[in-house]
Amino acid sequence: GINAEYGDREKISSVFTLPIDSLKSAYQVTVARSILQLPLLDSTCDFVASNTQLALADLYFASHIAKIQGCQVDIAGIEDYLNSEIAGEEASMNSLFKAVTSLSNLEMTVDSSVAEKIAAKVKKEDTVMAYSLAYLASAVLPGDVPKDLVDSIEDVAHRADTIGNAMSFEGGLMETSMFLKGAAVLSQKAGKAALTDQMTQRFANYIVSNKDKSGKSNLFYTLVGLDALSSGSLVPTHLIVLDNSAVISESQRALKVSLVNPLGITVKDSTAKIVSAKGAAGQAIFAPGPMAGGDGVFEVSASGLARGVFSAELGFELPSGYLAPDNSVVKVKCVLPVELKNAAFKLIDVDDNRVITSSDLSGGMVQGKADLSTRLIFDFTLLDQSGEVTLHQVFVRFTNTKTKQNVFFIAQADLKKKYTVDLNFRSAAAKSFGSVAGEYTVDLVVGDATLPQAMVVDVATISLDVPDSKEPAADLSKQAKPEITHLFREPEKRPPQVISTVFTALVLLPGLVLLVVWAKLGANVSNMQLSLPTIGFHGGLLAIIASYINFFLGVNMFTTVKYLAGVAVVTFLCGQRLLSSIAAAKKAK
Amino acid sequence: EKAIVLAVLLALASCRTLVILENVLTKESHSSFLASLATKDKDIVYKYATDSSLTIKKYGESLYNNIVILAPSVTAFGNGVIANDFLTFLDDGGNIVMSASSAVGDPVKEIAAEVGIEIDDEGTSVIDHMNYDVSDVGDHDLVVADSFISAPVIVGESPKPVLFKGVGMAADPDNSLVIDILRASSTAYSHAANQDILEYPLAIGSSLLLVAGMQARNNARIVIFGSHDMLSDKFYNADVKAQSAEGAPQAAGNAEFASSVVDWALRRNGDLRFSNVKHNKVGEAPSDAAYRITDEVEYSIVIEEMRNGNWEAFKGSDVQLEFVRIDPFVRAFLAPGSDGVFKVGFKVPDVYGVYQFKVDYNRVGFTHLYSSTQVSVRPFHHTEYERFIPSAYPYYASAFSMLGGLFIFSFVFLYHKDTSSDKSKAMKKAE
Repeated sequence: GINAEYGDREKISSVFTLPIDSLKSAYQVTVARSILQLPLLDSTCDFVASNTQLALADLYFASHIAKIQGCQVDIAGIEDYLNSEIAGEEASMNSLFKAVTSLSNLEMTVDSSVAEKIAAKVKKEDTVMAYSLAYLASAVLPGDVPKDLVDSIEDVAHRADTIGNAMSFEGGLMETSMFLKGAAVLSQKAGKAALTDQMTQRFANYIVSNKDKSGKSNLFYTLVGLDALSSGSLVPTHLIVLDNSAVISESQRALKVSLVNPLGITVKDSTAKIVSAKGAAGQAIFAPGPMAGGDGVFEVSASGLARGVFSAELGFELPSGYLAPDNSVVKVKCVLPVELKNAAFKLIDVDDNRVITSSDLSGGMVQGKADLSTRLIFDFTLLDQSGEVTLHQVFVRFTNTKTKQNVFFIAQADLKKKYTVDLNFRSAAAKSFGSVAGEYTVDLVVGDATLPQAMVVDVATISLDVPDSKEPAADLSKQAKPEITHLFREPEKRPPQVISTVFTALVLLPGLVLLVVWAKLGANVSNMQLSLPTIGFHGGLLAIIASYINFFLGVNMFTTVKYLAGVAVVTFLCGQRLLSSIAAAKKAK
Repeated sequence: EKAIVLAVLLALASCRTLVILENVLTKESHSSFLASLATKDKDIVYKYATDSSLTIKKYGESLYNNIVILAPSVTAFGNGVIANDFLTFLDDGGNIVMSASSAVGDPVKEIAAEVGIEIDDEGTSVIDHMNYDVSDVGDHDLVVADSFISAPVIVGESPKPVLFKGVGMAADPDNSLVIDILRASSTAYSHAANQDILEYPLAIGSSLLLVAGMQARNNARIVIFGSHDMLSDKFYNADVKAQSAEGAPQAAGNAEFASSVVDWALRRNGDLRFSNVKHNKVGEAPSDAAYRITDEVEYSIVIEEMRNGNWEAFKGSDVQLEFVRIDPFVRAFLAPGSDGVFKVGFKVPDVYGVYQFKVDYNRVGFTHLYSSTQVSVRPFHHTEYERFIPSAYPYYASAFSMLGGLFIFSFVFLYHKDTSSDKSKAMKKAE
């Protein structure tokens, strides 16, 4: 049922509250709150008064709210409108249902022909939902309940799927809840339970499994289903609810049990007793006998604590009309702490056969060194109040202080429940440690379902020395790689500027010398006569030199040759004229 | 004929998901998960695991883009579907989301084994005596887990602790395709709770995987949740508090975590694509001409990332460009810009040859992005070398002084009048 311990009731209640945004939600909130026995909201009546139209769906919701909360629905012509809906030729089962229940809620008279119409319609539509609505409608009609309809309840129930110990219809939660509600109200009117115990139990298991869902609609239909199961007409079922999580310990020796109906309400006038409470090894944790308390809330205290899981079989005495739970065996776990005792930690050099380090851990963590010729032997026992115990998880954990990698070894217990870890580093270094040398912290991890919490004991710090130690491989493929900038080739070294300048001067020196010597020798240009060939020739020479300079400065060969071709012709002709005129002048002398 | 039309229509359809359910109860117990799935993908087909009409491939074409298998304990799929069919589906580019549990059946184990993930035997569970949830009154197999992989593209920005109850997995640490989405804590181990531990379990501590994923080289993804219950409504609405933790219980992060991981698995997150690769010399338009050594070049690429089913600009800060001629000569980070444009500029090395602009981006959770553009790099033309070097001035001087001398010499040579011989002649005449 709704388990008070896990705050189910609060969770579900918090869903059915303001704000209300539609008639449907007002309806769901009001019905849910009435099922949960919570105070109803004042604003609902006002909302209904201002939002109800003369329509089937609206009147359905409004009439239900009116019945529960005592509101007034003041719209003219409701009775005639609803009866005309019933009288309509093509009225579906849904419409018939809504009209009939609305009229009944508002205490108006229903047309007497409707019972036949319902019987005919339900045979025609033949769906689970149609039957459920037919049951609900028939239950509010005056007169006796049609026998056919009551007999059909069990047949329709057989249409449900059974999975495990739960039973549900293919339409899901809504269909199953509406069916249960219909079956419950019809059974109540007929005066006999229409579903078998087993069916009821299975439907109940299904409905309860939906209490963890979210959504107003889901929770609403869950509540409708649970309400139907708790109404007393469908052989109510009960579930055992444990208040202290079925875990007992030194500080919490009492097992608290609540016997509640599917809605979480305790069963009055009930008693409970322990039939037997034995563990797997046969030891008892609760003495057989009656449990303290009453009216659905019971308690029993453990006589002696022993580690383990116990099956406590409970017996109940219930008032008449109540069905005992289908499962009266409760698993109770007793948790007790353990202590580490008789510890012996040894590091042995295998080649020399001598003990390097030995400690009983009383002085705190051991410092040790290990290499390939070392053997580690660690013995200890785990004790609780009743003696030596073996537990599920007893691991020795090595942690590399740099890489934080873990290496685990299992401690095995012998027949006397003494644990041993025997580690030979010659093989283990490569196989288990991956040949990664370094400093490792060693601790003992002890855990079990019957321990309140795992126990971690610091044992030692060991420096492992491995020749050819491997660095733990780092996966670089998924990271950014280092940046590369290209190193450009250095330009060749050049001589300092000074040397170039000096040699330039040296090179120009002979020219200077030439001019000086010429001056001394009396060179002159007295014979020069200004004439066209002279100008042409020297000018041409100058142009040729200029074109060489131009080519040097960056013009290409093609342009230069083109230019030179013209200039060369001119210079040649002029030169020839000049030289012949000079030769002629010489001859004349 | 009808089938051909159907196949054509399916090929045109954008995204189709097959959800394989274990039984009727799954639809209700996992209604939130299925509702969330329906918001991610409009076209979903639901089938039961033993359905005799279960088909994955028809006429050589996969019928679906994604398959979600919520049937951990199924012993055999209907219609003769075997584990290998799901492998072929992965090879064809389809994505798979699978859940396992302590009652895991052989088909699920086989599919996982084929992708490099080993699920522990049936009957084992992940047990953690330190980090079990406070509501666990039994074997401490209801575990609170928070060792998520640091990849927001898979698990979201800051995932909250999740509730887990199921079977553990292990993968070869050298397998670079397997992704450890959620690991167990250091005190956890995988074993049957009611049997003593006589030999080393499948995995202990952080080598034990609770949620494992694999991205194949064709970028198809598969995710395996070790706990079928962690996707259920009950766990979505639960509060978690580890036994060893301080503070008040908080709401379980299962819903957001599952939604994030499924978004990644269905390729709605984490896909990368590139477009618009441009490269040019600084100051010039892109051209096909070869680059010259020591040129300044700039390269840009547009990278987009799939986020919630839409392509958006990628904002990664560690995308690198390599300029490779067999070995990379230059490797630089691409600076992200607006609209997903990534740019960088650098100087072409002074070694000529055929190079490639390579962007090779491989990060956890993203598809592999690879772009390669080939360019040539030529040496200097004979006209591009340095000129007018000071060390050469003597040579320039010598050449030009010779030319100048020639010019002057031409005057002197042609027009020199020997005045001393005239003088001597005149003197001789006078005698």
